[in-house]
Amino acid sequence: MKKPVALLSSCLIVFSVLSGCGNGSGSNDSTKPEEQDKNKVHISFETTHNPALFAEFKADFEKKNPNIILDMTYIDDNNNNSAAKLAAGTAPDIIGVDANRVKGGFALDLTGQPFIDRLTDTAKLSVQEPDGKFYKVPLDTWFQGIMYNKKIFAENNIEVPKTWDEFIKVCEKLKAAGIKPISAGNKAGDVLGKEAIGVILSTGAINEPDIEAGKATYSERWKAGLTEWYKIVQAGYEGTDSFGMTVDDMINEFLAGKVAMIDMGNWQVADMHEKAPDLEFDTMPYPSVEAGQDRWIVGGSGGGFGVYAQSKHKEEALAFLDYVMTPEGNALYIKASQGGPTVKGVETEIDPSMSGVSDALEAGRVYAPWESLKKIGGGAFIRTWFKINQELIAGGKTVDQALKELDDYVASQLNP
Amino acid sequence: MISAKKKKFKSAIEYEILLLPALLGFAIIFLYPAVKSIIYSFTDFSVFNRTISFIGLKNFIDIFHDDRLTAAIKNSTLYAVSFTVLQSAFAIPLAVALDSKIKTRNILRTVYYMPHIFSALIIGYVWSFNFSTSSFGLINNTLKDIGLGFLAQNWLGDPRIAIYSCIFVAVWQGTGYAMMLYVANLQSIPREMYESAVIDGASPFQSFRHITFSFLAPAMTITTLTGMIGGLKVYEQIVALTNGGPGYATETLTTALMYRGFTENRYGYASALAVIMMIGIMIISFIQLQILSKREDKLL
Repeated sequence: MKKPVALLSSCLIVFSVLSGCGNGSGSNDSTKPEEQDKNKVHISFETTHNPALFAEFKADFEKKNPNIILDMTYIDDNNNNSAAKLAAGTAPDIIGVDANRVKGGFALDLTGQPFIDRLTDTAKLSVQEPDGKFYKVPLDTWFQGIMYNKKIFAENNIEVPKTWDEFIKVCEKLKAAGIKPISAGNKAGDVLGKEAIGVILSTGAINEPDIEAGKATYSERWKAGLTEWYKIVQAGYEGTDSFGMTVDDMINEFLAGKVAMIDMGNWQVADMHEKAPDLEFDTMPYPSVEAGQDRWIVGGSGGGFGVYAQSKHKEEALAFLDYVMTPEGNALYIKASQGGPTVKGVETEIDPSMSGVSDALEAGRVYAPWESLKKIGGGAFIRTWFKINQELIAGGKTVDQALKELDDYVASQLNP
Repeated sequence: MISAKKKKFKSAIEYEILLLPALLGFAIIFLYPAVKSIIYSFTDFSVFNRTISFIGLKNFIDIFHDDRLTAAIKNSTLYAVSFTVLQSAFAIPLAVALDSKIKTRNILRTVYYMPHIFSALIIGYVWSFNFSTSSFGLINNTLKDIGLGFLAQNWLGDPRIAIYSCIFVAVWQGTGYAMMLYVANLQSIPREMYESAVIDGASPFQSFRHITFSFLAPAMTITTLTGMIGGLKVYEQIVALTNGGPGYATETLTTALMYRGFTENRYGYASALAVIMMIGIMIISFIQLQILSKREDKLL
């Protein structure tokens, strides 16, 4: 009796599976969109932003380019993953471009593309190669400073500090009030590595052309700034505790009101508002080494994106760049990324939680040293700096030794 | 006579043909990349360097002058040896306990085996949260809540203890797998051995030492061999827990290899490191096999 039942069940299962695989001739209407999609070209774009926030941007792009589907995928480490994919010949159609990738012939030459002229002057300058060519365009500008909880600052009568000394005093005051002053999710070394750079920038930001030309070293140019920044480690407000925390841990602490300040930037703002809509916070530029010096924020054009030279969908990828370089496309992109515009004629209002850095933004006091390197790979450079900075924090190196190691690394890349 | 030989040859060929697909897969997926990697190790190959030049042994010589790699070798050795020893040290008593007639043994075996099912990356991220020094870190907060706050540590951030935290997670995840191997092995030990030991007046410890421990040799060979190889090439877990940091405190051979290869784009150099690693693992595994097989032979 059992056998026929088993046989019948098996037949039913097989039938149901096969019917699921069929063309479904009786339901032509429901499969039509899928068939339509099959004729469209998929282009891949890996981003460090949350793709869900770009729904409006994606929909508008696909509406204006009905033959293309944009596949945006989140990736937490653009440099390493893309490098592996480049090596394997499976890189996405839109790739982040740096000096190494231009040298290796992975980036399509964009010189002469009509969208290049739509870039703002500063954006254009940031991506132009020394020989005048273009291999990338910045989709937005990113920036970061020190975010602070406005309520905590107001309740403790704290003014936004202008110098690093004042900043350390703010930490002292907050600690005395029983509040954790600053949190850093520095497991990957990026948070405090960038914070140190933020302070260093006030002592003279743009050094990279001289360093790549062999006219200067980081040991000379960064020493005063790094020595000053290191005082916060010596004071105990930032230290090895930060290595046990991720960026998410740090943001969650800030959103829960458990800490007064964190180092963070525009790309997290939309997510932060969504998670904690009632939290009021603003962002300050990095305090300067000495009183009266300009205060900077760390940021840039994200290195810029170009088209993978071996992509099978170059035309479609170019159409994507063309779209982002229109005022409408750029406006929708930065609406999601919370970054700054890179195209002329885009009017944006800075999010109130970043209004504290608007002066620095308007004055152009935004700089990311590694994005200005033209001869050596910026991605590898900054990751090396993050590791060195972690060793400095852990006490394994002095300021001088840390900077010497960075100089050695630069030399090894310039003269392999 | 000839016909019998022919028949035998034909049948042998038939079996060989059956092996071909597997051999082809092995050649494409393992042999070809391995040989290519060996060739690259003598060059300055980088994905961004269009002209590949033969540079002899330069990569190998540079490796032995690279301080960071010396630290990576030290960390990998510490990790692999500690993991291998601790995995069996916990798995054997667990297997003995769960080979007894306790009612919950099947549930307990499942519970202990469970961590092994998950990817090392997922386990790494989960433990990263547990170890976190943030206000939400599970372990430190639990310790504080139960009045043991003085035991709270910077588990992954203190360069002195970070590697031990990584080893702990590996042992936590790997013990269940080793336990299952030991349980299977225990079930093959003849019960009469224990009965005669009891008759001879052996204590439970003596029975364990001379019967159980000796007869577990086959499982121990597999566990220690796979543990050592897995420990020496650990990657995902370290990436999820510490990403080789703080600084280079938990850098292992594989994280260093990936860093040199894909961050610094020095593929030739990274290939040389891979070759050294492969030779090192082969030598260690060979020595291990020699010693452990001798132990197994004594049982026969």
